[in-house]
Amino acid sequence: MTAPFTGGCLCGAVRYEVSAEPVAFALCHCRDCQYVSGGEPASVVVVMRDALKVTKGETKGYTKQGDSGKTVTRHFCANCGTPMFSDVEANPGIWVVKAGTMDDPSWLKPGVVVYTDSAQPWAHMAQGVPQFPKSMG
Amino acid sequence: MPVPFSGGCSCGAVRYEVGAEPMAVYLCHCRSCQYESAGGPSAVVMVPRAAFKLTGMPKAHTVIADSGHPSTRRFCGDCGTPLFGEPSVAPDFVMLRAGSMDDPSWLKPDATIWVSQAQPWAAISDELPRFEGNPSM
Repeated sequence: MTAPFTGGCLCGAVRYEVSAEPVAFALCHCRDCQYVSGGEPASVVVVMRDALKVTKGETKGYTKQGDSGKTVTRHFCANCGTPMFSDVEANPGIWVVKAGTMDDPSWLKPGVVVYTDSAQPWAHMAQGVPQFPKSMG
Repeated sequence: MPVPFSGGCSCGAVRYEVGAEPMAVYLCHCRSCQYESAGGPSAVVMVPRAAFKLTGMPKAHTVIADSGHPSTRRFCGDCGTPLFGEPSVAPDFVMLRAGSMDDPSWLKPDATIWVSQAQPWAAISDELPRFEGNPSM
């Protein structure tokens, strides 16, 4: 994997830098992610909390109760709507970064597919990686 | 197909109803869609504008698409959910994001488009027709 790496939203109003290698790359089919990702899974890169730094602009947050019963705050660019990060109350040591916002997401390797229980029947499942009906633990 | 069908954003501030069957369902891997859909494809449901009724006021962000023409992407300003696209080249149609439908399970994707820009790790169906760019109509 390549660190540090950079990314931002479609319009460029928000930019970020990640200084350490991601700890995981997951494809999430939960229903909340489907809203964010247009219906197919959200491709999410888990990074340590202190490794992510927003270098330009700021995001807007929307908080909703997640499957765990704790909250998930989804951050997006208020100007162009690009979904960017999630802040997971159940796991405050991490940021969940949407892969589509990376300047170069091509080097990622999916490690796990989660929430297959709620995947749309027409969604495409990544093959050759572990799949979990809900979250991993 | 269940017609009419309805949908909206994750927080409920924007709602819509569609009174006609979708004309096509595409899985779009273009780079702009990757920003919106977290990295994987955006599942796009093409419906006639005349059959589309919107309640609430989504925000708009306009980009110049690969066709060279403006394309407006609509999202909820409160929760960030991507809702629909309005390509200027197809003013009679609205391109809904499948994830925003109340029940997207009955959709049948017709084709995978913009595979030329797909991420190497994106899961792409072997069974659907593929187009390097936009589908030929």
